[in-house]
Amino acid sequence: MKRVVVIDDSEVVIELVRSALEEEGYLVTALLEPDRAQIEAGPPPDLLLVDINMPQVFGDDVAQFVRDAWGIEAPIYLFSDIAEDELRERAAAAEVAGYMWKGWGIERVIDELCDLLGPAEAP
Amino acid sequence: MTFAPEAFYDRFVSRTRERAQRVQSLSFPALRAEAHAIAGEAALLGLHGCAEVAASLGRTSSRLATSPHHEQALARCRGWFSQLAQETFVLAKGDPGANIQLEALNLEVHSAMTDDSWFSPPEAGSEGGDGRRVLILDDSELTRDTLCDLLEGEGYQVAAAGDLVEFEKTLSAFRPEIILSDINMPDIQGDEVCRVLKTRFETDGVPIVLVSGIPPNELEVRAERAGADHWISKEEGPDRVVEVLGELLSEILF
Repeated sequence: MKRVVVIDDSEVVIELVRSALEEEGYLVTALLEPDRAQIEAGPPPDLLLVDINMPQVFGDDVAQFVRDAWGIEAPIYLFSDIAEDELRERAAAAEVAGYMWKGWGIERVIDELCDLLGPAEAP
Repeated sequence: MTFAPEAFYDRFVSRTRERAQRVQSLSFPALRAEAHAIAGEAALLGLHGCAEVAASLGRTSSRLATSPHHEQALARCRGWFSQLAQETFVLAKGDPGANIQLEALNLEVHSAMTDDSWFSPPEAGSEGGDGRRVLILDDSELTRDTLCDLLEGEGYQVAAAGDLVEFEKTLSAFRPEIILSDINMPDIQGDEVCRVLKTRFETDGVPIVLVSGIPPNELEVRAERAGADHWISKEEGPDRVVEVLGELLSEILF
């Protein structure tokens, strides 16, 4: 089963994303802050969705330490409601796989994630 | 997908109300963070009127945080927060009238961004954490904002620069007592900045802290080679910056 890690300091956001992705059949680890042990527990994640404005971590640099310091190899998508153009630029600057804009609404975010992930069961 | 975000409206409304109550005893940085959280949740739930007000409230509270009329500005932001929670409740119940109220509120909150009366007359002197001057060099606007809010909340006078040109200008005008610098930036490496500042007569005594998301072992080596006074891994979180600044200041003072 494909696994997605969602990191966001909002309980509402992580529960919303978790419910929607679980409904699509994915395994979801929802975290209120970056937690290396939780990310590494279980099968390697297929995708990380990371909020870029959490008070307990540094802005958009969170992707950098998840990838470079912790060595997590799954594609990282930045997740935010800042202006979409700015988010796109930040994702490019952080050299991550892409972004998901909260302004799209949950339905489109989940559709985009499903397209990226493919079927929930690994082939 | 068949997922219905409406199932989360009640939870979102009650969280927004809790937040609105909580900010009544919180200061600007926390208020800004709460507004931002609401903006993200509302956007994802498709409650756009609410998301826009929350985003405006985040930006405006960030700006008003530097107002000399601190108490009045804070009271105003807290009041807007309560109005937002109330209208969110009405909106989530499906009353379209809430959107008109939210538009009016958004206009009011947004216009405070350009209301100069919040910034006159300027007050001299410092307060709280000794008003020590800290200069931040970081190309990430979000990181600059996070650190500015945090350190201003601790009573520091803070200036921030996003590139080398801005940094040089601010350096001579602001005369910082401590410098915090990122390492990986598009136009310069922070350890190179540190090395240069440590050779200049005007800045060789100013403590420099390198703050970076590169792996801690690499950061330690680069900080040491550059002659930095301290280094902080971004993995440790912004609160660590407050601790380190406190330690450096006590070294300067005693």
